[in-house]
Amino acid sequence: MENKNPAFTTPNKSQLTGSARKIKDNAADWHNLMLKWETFNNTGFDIASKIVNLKISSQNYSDMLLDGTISNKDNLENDKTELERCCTELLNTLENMEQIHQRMKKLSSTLKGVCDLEAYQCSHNSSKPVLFHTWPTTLFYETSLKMSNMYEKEVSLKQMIAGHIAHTIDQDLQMVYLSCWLYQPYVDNSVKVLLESMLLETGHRPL
Amino acid sequence: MSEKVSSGSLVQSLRRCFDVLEQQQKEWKFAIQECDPLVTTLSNLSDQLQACQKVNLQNGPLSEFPDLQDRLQYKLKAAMEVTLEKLNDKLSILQKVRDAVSLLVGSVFYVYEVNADNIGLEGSLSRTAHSPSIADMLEWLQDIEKHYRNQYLVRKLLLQVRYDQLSEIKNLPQHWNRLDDKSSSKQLVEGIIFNFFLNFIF
Repeated sequence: MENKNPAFTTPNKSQLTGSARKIKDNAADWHNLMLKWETFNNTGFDIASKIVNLKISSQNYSDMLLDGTISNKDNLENDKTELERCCTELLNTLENMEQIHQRMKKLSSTLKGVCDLEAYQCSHNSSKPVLFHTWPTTLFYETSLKMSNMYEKEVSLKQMIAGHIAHTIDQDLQMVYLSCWLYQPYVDNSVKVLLESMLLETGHRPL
Repeated sequence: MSEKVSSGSLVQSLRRCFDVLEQQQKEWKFAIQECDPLVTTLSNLSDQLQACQKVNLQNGPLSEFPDLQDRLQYKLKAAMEVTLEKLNDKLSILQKVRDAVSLLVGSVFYVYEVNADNIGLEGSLSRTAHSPSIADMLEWLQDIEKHYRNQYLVRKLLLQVRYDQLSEIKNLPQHWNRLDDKSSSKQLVEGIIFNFFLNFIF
């Protein structure tokens, strides 16, 4: 017997309209934004490493100048210019990451809108529709919000790192800044599971 | 006559054995090469973990993030676990090579034991300018087998790391590379295999 209940079939992309279409596109956007974030994170890490290396080498150089081992100050000036350039580059990368986070927040607020609309439409009806396989619409919003909050915290950590990385000579602290940047302590490992679940539910990934 | 036949079949199986050994040695070397960057990664991570434990974040600009230290440690340990898992995969390749070599050497010794009476003591010990004696070759095989056994064991022990001994993990690359040191046993297997084929080609 053919099952005609649309809730049991993966909706065809072209057939989707309204809230389902919005949610599915939203999931795809999440995926793309996270990929972009990773690329910027790697670029930022490369720049941050350069900054730390420059700090260490210029520190050694200044020590040698003080000792009188060397007298040529040109290298120190070059290092300073290079450091300045790297810091600007890091700030630019951070700005791009902040923009990505803004877009992530927007995705969450769109989902909130979809949820509110559904609540309004179904205010007289006790049962709310399941747009895809099993998830209620609110779960998309909750998931998106959870992910967006992780990135929010990560952005503020990165802002702190970008502001201080070039102002410390404590090598342990420099290393902590670098590992924080790379390993993103506020982006939980569960973020991948959340994203994949969303992609699976919306039919981007085959069941 | 039977002495010649017996020693002929033994030499044949020795030859086959060295052929396979050459392959196994390539596999071993390849696995070790793949381990090197992983061991360095592990050492770097332990360095970062050590720095994270040493730094007092509460007094610096990062004091705004009270759970940062725990979270970073968790992430670093997770990265170390992933690296260790990859290293254990490589270790299992080394184990396979070790087992294959043991089996191979065991089978050659079996052939020798079956034919030992026919070959006789003198037959086993006689060597010429062109070819080593059977006893020599059997000894080489035992050396090679021992080498793989030791190497595998030491490498496995080196990878039994503990997070409360981070400085040991930090020094892991030195210990790991020392095992491959030219002055030690690195050349043993390749030297013997080379020696064997040299003797049989010329």
